Amino acid sequence: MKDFLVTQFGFSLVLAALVFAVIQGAVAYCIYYERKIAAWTQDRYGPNRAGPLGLLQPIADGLKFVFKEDYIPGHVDKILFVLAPGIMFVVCGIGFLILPWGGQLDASTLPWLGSHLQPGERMLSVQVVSLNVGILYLLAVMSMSVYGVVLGGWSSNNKYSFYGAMRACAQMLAYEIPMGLTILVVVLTMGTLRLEEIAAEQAASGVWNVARHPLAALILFITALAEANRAPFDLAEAEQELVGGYHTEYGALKFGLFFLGEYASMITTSALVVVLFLGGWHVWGVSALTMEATSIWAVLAKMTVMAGKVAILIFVYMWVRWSLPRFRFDQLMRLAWKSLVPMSLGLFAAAAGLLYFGLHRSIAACLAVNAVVLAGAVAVASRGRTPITGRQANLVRQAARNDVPLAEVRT
Amino acid sequence: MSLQVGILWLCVTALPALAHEEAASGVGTGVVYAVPGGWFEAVMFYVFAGTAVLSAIGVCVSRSVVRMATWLFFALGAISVLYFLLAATFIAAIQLIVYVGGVLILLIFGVMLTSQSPWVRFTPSRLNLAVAGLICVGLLVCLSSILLEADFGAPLSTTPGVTVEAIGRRMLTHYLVPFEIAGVLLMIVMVGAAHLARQEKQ
Amino acid sequence: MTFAALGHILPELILLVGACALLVLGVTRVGRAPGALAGATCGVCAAALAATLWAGIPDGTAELSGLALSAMTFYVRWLTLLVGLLLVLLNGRQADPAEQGEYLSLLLFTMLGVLLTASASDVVVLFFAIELVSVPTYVLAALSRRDARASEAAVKYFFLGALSAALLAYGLGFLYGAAGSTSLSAMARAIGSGAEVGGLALIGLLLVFGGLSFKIAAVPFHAYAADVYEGAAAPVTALLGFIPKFAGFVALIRVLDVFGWAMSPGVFWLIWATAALTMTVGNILGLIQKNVKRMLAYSSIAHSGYMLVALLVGPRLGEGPMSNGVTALLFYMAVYGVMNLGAFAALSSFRRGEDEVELVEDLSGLARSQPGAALALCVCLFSLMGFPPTAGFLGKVYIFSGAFSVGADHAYAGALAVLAVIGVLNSAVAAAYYLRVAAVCWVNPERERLAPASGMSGRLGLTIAAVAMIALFVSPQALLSRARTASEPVLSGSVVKGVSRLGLDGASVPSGISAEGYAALSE
Repeated sequence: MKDFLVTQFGFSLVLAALVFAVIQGAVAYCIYYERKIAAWTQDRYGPNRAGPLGLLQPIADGLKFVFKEDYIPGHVDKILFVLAPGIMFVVCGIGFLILPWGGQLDASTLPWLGSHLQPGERMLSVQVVSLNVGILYLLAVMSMSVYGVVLGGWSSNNKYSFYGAMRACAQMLAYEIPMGLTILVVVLTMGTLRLEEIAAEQAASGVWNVARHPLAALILFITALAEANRAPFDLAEAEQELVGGYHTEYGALKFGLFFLGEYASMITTSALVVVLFLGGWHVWGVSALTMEATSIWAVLAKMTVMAGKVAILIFVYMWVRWSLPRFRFDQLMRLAWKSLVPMSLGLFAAAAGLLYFGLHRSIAACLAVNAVVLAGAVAVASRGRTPITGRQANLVRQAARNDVPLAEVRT
Repeated sequence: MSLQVGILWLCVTALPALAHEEAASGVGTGVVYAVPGGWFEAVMFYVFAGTAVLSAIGVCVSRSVVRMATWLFFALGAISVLYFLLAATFIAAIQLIVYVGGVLILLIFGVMLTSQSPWVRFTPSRLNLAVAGLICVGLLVCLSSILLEADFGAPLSTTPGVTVEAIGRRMLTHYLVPFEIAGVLLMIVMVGAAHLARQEKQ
Repeated sequence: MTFAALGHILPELILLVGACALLVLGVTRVGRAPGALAGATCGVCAAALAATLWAGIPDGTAELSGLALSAMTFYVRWLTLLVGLLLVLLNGRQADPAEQGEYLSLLLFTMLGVLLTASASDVVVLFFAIELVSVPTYVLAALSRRDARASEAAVKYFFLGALSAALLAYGLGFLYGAAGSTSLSAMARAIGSGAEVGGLALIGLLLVFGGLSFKIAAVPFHAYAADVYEGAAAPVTALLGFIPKFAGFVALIRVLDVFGWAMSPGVFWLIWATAALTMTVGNILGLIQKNVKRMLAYSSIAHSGYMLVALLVGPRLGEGPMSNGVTALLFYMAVYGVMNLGAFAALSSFRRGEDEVELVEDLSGLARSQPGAALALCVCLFSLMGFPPTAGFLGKVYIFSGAFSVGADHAYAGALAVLAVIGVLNSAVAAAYYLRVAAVCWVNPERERLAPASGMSGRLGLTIAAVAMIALFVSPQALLSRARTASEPVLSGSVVKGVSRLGLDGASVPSGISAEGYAALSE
């Protein structure tokens, strides 16, 4: 048994179980974090009653979810209604398996477990699964998370839920494309699909990809917001229009699973951004945070750094949520199809061009390319007229129908 | 209850991937994995092959389109796991991205746009059912009798390796022409779809 | 693949670039000028045709992945482009001005698909090429007119087409499973011929035949044809009658080539029954139609049956043109393309009020008002009927005499003779409904004056088709010798052999399996 735990298989199993447990705790405290940040933004106190600083609040919330009556409304498609939160949660959970949390671990430095091993005899990868198609797997899994939303919204047999599901579906389809393309920019630069190698390369060279492709990083961050259904892209659950959106009919633990899924995908997407663009577990000038440092303590330090970076990004998510108003749906679609997709396509083509000339690792060349794409986008945007959408479009149509000037219709 | 379903699915989905990487003995990272033995793969194969077949039957016998799509979700997912077990990780991931993440979502989207309520049911006529059943049984008998006797020859390769690079290279050398034709084809489909979906001019 | 190698596929490249350019031009100011896009499309076709003729018959040494150029490629190229040119003339003004660019570029894409089908040496290319033929036709059917019937036709066509694509892909998958390679030459080597063909390859062949039967509208996969032909506008129907059918037959030739033409009894009787049923069902249903487009749809189904007879006769070594099935098939395909086009050109060159000519009665008294057009239409109908002095007569003579003269040593000589008799009887039945149209034109009193449709292109197409039918009867030698040259690689097995000479997989040149297979058959 002891020996089994220090094989990669056993270690991966332990790690999988650990990750699974940690997600749930992390998510609970993410919600606390979110409420505190909301309070900070709005100049309030936030949760401060349960325990010191309100730290026991998430546990109270969790207990509430568990002990509430697990009610299934009579008008729903029961099987799908129950299945949907499960799918949501599972799909958001399996994305974690591929994330590299701390490079390599020398099993001999493990207390007790590794005492019988020679230093360097067995190296373990601090990652549940190491796939040679790592990024593709992550993309695949993330694209599946829409099923929970869609099936939940559909099976609720409720117009609000249904609209939420429709919106989520269209949004997810649209934002997956720029997300995939910007990830491909990193793949072209790094020449591998393995997340752990991408992180290690950045640590080895000391150059984070964000220094090469800041525009791609920004696009990926925006699409990550959209993929996680976060404000300003949370149209699937816009309270003012759709009550609760796709989870209007849900309560108790099933609602809790949706919640868990949403926050878990937030953690996954920000971890993805960290690994691809922000150097993973690497920080300059700390000897514990290099490829060579493989002791258990170095690994723990790396995991802490990684978690810290993820926490910072999540803070930005929340900051954005409490600062920016929500998009209108047509704006959301336009942003994806008319700005992000062309820009990321341009970046992708440019990255391929750089690779052809062998300049894909050159910071100056990459930055120049990013600047050119951005300038091109700005030039195109400034040439075009402001699009006529929403209520304006109706007014224009009305004016045309009645053959009167637009100003008259407006009044 | 959802939680148990979730945990179960989580475990079974993760494990085949693990099993694969052991077989591939840590290509690229220098990590040597211990192989737990063939029984694990066998169990995985039967579990997921069974899932695929049962889900496929589910697709056929469901009467609601969204339920069919849900069954299809499981069928396609299980097939992707089978690819993982075969160490064809690239195909497995592409299966998920293209079919589960793309085609099926579009299908559900289309159903949702056109159908009014979850209670709309397909009611095929008895005659249709009988004919379809006959065709299916005929195909099953015919295919299985041939497949059981078929000589597939020796496997082309028994050593799992990095498939992504090889596929990429083949795609841009050996299969360049079909690759380009596929691009043209997709463009045509897009032009056609855009035209058919476009609103009538007022 | 090098840039120099691209020269070998110049016609394909011209079509591709031209089609893409048309897509873009369609949304610019240039594209709005009346006739500009149609002119440009004709130009692209003509350029591709010129490139084909300039390159001549490929010697089969080009190094292209998945493509093998042979004499048959050359034949298919020029025939497709020539008929395509006529189709463009006919379709020039069909679409909505705003959709003109897309419409014409889709036309070019279908032609590109046929060209690629003829040179595919890898099943992946073959599948994609067939899809490249099919997918644009679904859209064309829908775009050809703003009408619920056109939409219905397109949807029917699309769903059945998707099913056929699935069958085709499934079948090709089995072939791959049997052979372990996607290249046709490697397949031919691995599968063998005659009795040695295993169950896997056999089921693959059957599924592929099923999939391609949709394309050629053979019974029992013919059901869509009448509805689709009726729903789409006549100029598009002219295209639907020729392009997918041509691609389907070319693909069938290539697949049967893999099997060395030595058919096992099961396959032989399957194709035999399909041919017999296709002829009979097509003609009998054609007989009872009132709508002239539906009638022509069933006639086109029946013609697929005749052509299947030629396919069944197969290539014969060292025989005259009268008994070589592939030569007869290629000759008939050319003749059929033109006469079919002529018939639909006739229908699209008149209007009854705002609408197209639909019923047979609508043509009443056409000869009084427009004798020239009526004459040309009748020439095309006589050719479809197989009546001298038209080329259709020669085409049928070649096919049926081929079936009669396989020789007593042929394993299925009797069956082929019976099939030929069925074919001849069917031609007699078919004469009834073709003659009815001719009679309505010439004998019936004028019911309603048919206005000539705007533009000369329909009449031009009609005239060219009618003249060509007579001319090809008077001197068929030029076409016949080209068809013979084109079927030579099939005879010697070098359609398949050529593939590996192009070094797809660097394998050694295989023995001429097709020729051996044929020899095994005739022994």
